[in-house]
Amino acid sequence: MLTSKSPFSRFEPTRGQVLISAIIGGVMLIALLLAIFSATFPMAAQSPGEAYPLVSLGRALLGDYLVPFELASVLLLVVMIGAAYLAKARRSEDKG
Amino acid sequence: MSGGMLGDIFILADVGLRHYLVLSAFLFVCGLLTIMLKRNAIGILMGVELVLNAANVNLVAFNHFSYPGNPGEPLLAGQVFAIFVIVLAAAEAAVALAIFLNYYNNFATIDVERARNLKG
Repeated sequence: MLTSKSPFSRFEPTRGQVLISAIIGGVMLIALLLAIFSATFPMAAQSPGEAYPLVSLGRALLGDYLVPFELASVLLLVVMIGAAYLAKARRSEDKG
Repeated sequence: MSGGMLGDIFILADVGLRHYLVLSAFLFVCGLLTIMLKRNAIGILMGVELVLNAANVNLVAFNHFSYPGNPGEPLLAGQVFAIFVIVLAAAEAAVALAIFLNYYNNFATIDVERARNLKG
């Protein structure tokens, strides 16, 4: 299985890696929280839209955002072909 | 009260922009730690998804609280952008999983530390 640990490989990070990662993560979290609580964000006076704008979201996807919507479908097609090719390449090599 | 009936039930009226931003920062740091600490390639992919979803929370929260548009013509750019981010994340996950499958076939492991002889 791809996700199970092999008995011969250790997946645990070393102590130094944990320490460096904890320092970087803690500094990043503190910096982000400081930025969030010190900044003043532009607030709309009162949210005029619907609370759950699913209808207008669908209309926007097929209206103003139609071109990126269609481009996303082309992208998904390309990705599907690419992933199938990548996953299949090794098996045909085995046969040949 | 912009929440309507569902908002009254879930008491969403008290949740402001900063709550969402704090959640997003927490998610982002979780994803960053996952990326840095995992040696399993699929675990790293999960960390990338966490970071992308932190960005999604930010996009939707700013769309709702800061730039919701005018009455009658709501501005939905943030929400639509979040949907496209989800689509791109799915595409990225598909390609990355195909690459990991090839890597596993070649090296019989997905430990990213063993990927050194992939460099050209």
